[in-house]
Amino acid sequence: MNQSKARKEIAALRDAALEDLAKTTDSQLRQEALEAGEDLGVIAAHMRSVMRGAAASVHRQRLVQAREQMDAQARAHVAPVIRPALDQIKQIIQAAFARNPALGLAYREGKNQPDDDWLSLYDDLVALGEIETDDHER
Amino acid sequence: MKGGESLDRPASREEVEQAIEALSAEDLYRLRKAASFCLLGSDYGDPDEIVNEAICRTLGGDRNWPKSVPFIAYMIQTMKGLGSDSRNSLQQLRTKQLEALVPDGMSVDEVLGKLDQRHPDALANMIEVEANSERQTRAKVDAYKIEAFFAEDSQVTWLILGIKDELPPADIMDMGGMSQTQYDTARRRFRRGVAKIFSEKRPS
Repeated sequence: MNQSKARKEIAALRDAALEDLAKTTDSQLRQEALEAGEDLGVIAAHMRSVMRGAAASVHRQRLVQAREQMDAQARAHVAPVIRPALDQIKQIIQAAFARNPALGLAYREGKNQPDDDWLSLYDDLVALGEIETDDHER
Repeated sequence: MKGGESLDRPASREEVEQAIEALSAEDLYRLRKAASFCLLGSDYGDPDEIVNEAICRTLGGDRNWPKSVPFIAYMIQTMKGLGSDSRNSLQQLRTKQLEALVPDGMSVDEVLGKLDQRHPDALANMIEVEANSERQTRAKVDAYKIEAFFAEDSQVTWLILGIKDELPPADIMDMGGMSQTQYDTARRRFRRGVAKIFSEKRPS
């Protein structure tokens, strides 16, 4: 017997049982439960409980996922810096270096830097709290 | 129902939960029996497991309940699909294709062995062959359990043979020397017997 045949046969048996079940009325089912010594009410309550349990587990999983997503978003969230004009940035940064000479060690004294460096340095100093954005106009 | 609302739209989570609560005791009993039948040849261990999976897939969005279909019918169809799902993966489709190509006297494993150097999916196929082999064994074992259960009932035995061979009811009745009534009651005995066999957890 090849693989497909065994599975096809069991599927045919399953379908035949399902088909016969579909033709069985509720009152016949109640009668069959009685004859089989099964408590229909107990089985029904158990089934509802299985389904409620499944629904609850999906909700729990959703809550955990939502919480994880919120945490990830919170971690990724960085307030955007609104920069003033580039010339003003250079002045502000030079003033910051003048206030705190130690910064210059990390930035070659602020001379002959490309514009992108000025911009990113400004952002870094704002993030470090060395520059207060409220102190200057944009 | 609100005006213009489509019956074919997938039900919301709340609607699924309401439908669960609205099922009658008979519906739930029927669902339990149907779940037992859907275990036949499947990877699921017991009726609770397949019912649980059907609800999780529905609420998780993998399966949608179209509101035009009664919830119990949808549930039975979904469980049936879940039981058959393992037979429908891409890898299984490929393995089935290979099965069809296997010459007489050779197994799929032997053919895959020969293809190993040239077939890029050979390893994946071999894994799938193993899984298929387990499912085939399960299908055979389940069929054997049913046949053994009805060994003393010649009418149901004829019925099983006929169903497996996809014979029409008239041929099964003819083969088993059954009247329409005897055929109908044999089908009922078959259904109730199968429900009994698969009502509990499979031994692992």
